[in-house]
Amino acid sequence: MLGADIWVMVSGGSLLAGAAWSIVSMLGAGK
Amino acid sequence: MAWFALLWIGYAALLVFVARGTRNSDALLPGRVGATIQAMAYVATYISAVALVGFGGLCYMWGMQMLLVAAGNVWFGTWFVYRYLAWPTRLWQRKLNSRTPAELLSKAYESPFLQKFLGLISAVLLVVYGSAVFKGAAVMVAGVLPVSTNAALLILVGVVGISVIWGGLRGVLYTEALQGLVMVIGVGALLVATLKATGGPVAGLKALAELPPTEGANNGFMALSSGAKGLNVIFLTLVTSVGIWAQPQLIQRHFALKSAAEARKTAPLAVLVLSVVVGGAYFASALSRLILGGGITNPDAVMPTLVHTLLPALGQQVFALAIVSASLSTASALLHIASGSLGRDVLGKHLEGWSWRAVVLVCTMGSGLFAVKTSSIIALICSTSWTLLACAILVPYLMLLTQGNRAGARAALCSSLGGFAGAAAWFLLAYASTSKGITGMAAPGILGAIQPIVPGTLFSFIIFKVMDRSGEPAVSAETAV
Repeated sequence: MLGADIWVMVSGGSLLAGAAWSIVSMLGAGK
Repeated sequence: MAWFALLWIGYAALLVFVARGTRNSDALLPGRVGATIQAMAYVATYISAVALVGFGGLCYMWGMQMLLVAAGNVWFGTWFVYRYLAWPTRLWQRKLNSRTPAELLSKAYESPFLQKFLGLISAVLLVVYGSAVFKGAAVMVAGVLPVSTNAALLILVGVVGISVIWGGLRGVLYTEALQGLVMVIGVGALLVATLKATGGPVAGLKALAELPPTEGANNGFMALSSGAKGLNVIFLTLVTSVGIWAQPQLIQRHFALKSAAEARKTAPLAVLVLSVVVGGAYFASALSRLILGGGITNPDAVMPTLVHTLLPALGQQVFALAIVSASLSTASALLHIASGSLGRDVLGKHLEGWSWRAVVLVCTMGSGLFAVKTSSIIALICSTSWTLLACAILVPYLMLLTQGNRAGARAALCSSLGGFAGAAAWFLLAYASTSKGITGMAAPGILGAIQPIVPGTLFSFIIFKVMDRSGEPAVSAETAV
């Protein structure tokens, strides 16, 4: 995807996933 | 220019004010500190200017494969730490009433010499490593203000020294949290400006994928390189994401936790801040090749050039503040742990009042003097200290958290000494990038590219298992006669 190999895709995807998990966790904790 | 000078003076004054206003009666223990402060302080200690400017430059050279380092830092260096290591560390620290990581391991395994050894290498290696961090910050300040590098160095060393003396660990945590916030703002501004200049992330990535491969990015800028180049990125990830578990200044951050629930609460914010700071900085600097062209040969010049090209004057100052914050937050943590190691672990002092001031002063002056003096030994220590400490601490520390202290004093001490010696030997004799310049020797072929953290930790683990007494039957009073 976008010319990226598996290493770059997994790394970039996991960074986005980490940020999303953080936001969801913090929103959940704030309820 | 006068406004910018005021901005910097205000920043320095705020750091000292925060350190003084948040201090604790015990210089080595943090007292009660909230999860938000802990998360910001952890990230600020973790990420130095080397990671932002130095690794940012590598992203320009090697492309998006450096996101592997950022992802490793986020998941192994932060999430894993708060999920599995932080709270058990705090439990041991509370149980043993220890004030430094070296004291924690020494008391747990009942090996007084282990405290002296770990305290000594922590003090020496981190004071020297701190000098490089100070020097980086001084160069950055001298670049944006009309002061010489040495004058900037003197001021920065003074501000950090005073903050550590007045603030102790609690003050250091609060100043780091403030610096972490400045880092988020600075990197955020650079990321937004870079994405604007490249037409957004998708257009930027597509354009980057079309660039022809180079020597550093031999599979292009959107792929892991082949051979030793790619191995280098993997080892960089390993050292900065797993080696971090055993850095004393970061182990000490867990001493502030109140409960397992607080560790779980700290993790999301630390992960988010780290994702923004390193993910954002590396993404922006990899894309910077589209803006700056391929002509820059010095990696350290990439970030300053990018900032100068994209940001207005105020933005440049804010980014410089972010880089200096990254340096000073790491430097204050290093000075604090080096002072604690020297005073408490090596000299056996209680460290309050003048004894605390004296050890901080010695370590601060040591870092300042090393920063002024340039030598190949200092440069070598700076580039190896992280790995050497990891190899001396990682195995006994992880074994303590996973199986308790039943392995005994000999296993812990010998594995620590062996890990340190093994890594040092590999640096001197086998790891081509250091050994060729020192002894002229190197391991053959791809073996010479293996980072010493791998053989060092492996050696340490083997020694630990060989000397592990946990499987032996307990000696009863009758059999001992």
